[in-house]
Amino acid sequence: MILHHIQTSPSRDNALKLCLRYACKEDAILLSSDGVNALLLRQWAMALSPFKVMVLKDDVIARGLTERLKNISQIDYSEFVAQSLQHDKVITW
Amino acid sequence: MMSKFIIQVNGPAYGTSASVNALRFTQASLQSGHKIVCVFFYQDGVYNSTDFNLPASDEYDVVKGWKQLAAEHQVSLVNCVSAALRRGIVSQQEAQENGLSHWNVEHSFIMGGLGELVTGIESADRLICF
Repeated sequence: MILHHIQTSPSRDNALKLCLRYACKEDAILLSSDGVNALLLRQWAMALSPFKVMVLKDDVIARGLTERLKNISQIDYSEFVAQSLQHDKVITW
Repeated sequence: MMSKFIIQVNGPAYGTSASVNALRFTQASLQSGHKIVCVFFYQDGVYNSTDFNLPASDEYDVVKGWKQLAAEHQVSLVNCVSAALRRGIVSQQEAQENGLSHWNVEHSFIMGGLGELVTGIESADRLICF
């Protein structure tokens, strides 16, 4: 059970694409920084839909996307810490 | 239960939010009662260690944030020395060894190598990269 951590937009690099190639269905994906932008594009939102997806709350607020991403699990830093321990490892792509 | 984290910072102080996110994760893990083995600055992450950043006084200063965290919680901040030297990030010792009259890294940051990262990963429960 891996927590995949994506910090960059899929419009910028291949981090999310690579992560989705190797992620297993029990894994979770945390989008932070510009990584949250992935959910704005239908193709990436669809590709993420089989997984448990979380977004870092402050990064969503910073981008003015709170309303737009209200159906996604938004976590704070202490929950990020807790999630990193609940999973066997964290991979930052 | 107390766990041990090692934090790797690959992003610079300015340009991406990687360093701020790493700092906030580190603060949150300390607040939750966990231990930080060290914070390892690699690649462009070494730009977090220069004392020559002078942001506007009404602006958040992430470099100062790291130094305060290190001082308050006795967290060691380790630079990858080869990543640092090729980016002009130099401590007093390297300045002397290379005949330079200036340096920009003071004592809050230790110059180390990937060995420190590897031994840190061995002793930590989780490695978190930013």
